[in-house]
Amino acid sequence: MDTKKIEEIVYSVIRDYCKNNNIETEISKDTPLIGSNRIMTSLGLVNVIVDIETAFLDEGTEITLTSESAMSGRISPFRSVGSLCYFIGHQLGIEQ
Amino acid sequence: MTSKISNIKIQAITSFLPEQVIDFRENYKTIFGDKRVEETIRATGIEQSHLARLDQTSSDLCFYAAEELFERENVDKFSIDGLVFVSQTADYILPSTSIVLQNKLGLSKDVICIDIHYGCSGYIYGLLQAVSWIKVGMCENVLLLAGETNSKLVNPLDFALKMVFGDAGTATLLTKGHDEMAFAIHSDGSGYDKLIVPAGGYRLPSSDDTRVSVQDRDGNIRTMDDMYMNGMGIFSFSIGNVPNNVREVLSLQSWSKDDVGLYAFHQANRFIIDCIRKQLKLQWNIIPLNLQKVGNTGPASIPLLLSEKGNFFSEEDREKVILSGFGVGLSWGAVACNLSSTHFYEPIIK
Repeated sequence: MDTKKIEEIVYSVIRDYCKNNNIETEISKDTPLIGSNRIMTSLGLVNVIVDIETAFLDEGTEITLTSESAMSGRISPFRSVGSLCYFIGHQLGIEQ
Repeated sequence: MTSKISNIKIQAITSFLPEQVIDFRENYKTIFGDKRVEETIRATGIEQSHLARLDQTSSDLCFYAAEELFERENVDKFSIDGLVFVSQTADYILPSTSIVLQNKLGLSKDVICIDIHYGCSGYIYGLLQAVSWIKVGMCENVLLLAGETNSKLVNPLDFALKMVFGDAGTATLLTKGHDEMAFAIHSDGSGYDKLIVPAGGYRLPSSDDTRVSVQDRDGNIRTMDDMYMNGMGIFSFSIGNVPNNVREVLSLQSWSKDDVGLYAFHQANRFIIDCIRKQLKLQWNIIPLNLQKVGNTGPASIPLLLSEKGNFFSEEDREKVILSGFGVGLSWGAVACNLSSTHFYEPIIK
């Protein structure tokens, strides 16, 4: 697992979600997942979180995107696609 | 706040569900659309809820649960000397609903009554109030009623909340005994606006202005007189605080997480409970769920869950039990207790 693979999985899940929900937007590292400009509902984000965790598990890597440390921190890992990828890399101990 | 209170017992728990059942797929797909309904069900795990009639209040639902408890446990009503009513949907601005229930239930005039205006963490507060009265010798038998008619707080066109909350009433009888309960309760008012009905109180009285419907960017419609929930805010709060709260009461009792045979979490939604479960590294077999069929019933959710699922666990499993409530306030609390001799009666529906 490396940063490229992490981005591939995360972008793929989010693009699938957008496609299935008729959300027309270009996904980039700056795409917001929470906040006033978010591209999906909070319930949609819940399902994307589950799908990303499942996609990593399919690759043989177990991750938890909703750890206590992530949720109690001042800055959410879900503020953008890029920050989510960084958070996953950090959790997996990958140099970025 | 942490505390250990001994020489008490939870004798019995009953519950009541109104007969009107709303199946989300059947009833909401034409209003909110297939994708939204399925997305919501997938995220929350909730497929249906019970709704009270327009003329039915939380105290009515609790009244039925209490009558059931008196009958099943053969309780002399005049032996009840304390009554705690936990709800955010009281009958009146004043008087307290617990006093109204004292008369309606035919309890002694010597009974002490109190309302506790809390939601999802409310059962923990109710337990603490009840056992405190018993511990200091004021009462011997306290009736704890926890109920909610959330359907009256949610705008009919707010699909995000309509597909989460349900209505229920419960009754719990607490008496003198030989058990011990460990409590850990926390409050954080900085999050008061994460789950709120903004108007209708004295800070912002209901008016023509507050009754104006507004559509949010997710398509939910509500007024300021309706319940609002910041879903991600509540989620982050729950995951960030509940696991540690559970560890606190485990530590107070000197139990390890694996000593516990039953974890009864407030039935917020399946995703939140699963995230808490993962943080605590627990297996699903000791975490019962009933939210699929009843939704989030606020302060009633823990006793309703125990009423329905308590008997699925052996007496040995129920010797070490964790109850955990969290939500509006923000407030959160947990109890480590022994429910091995508690009587659980399945919900009555009518």
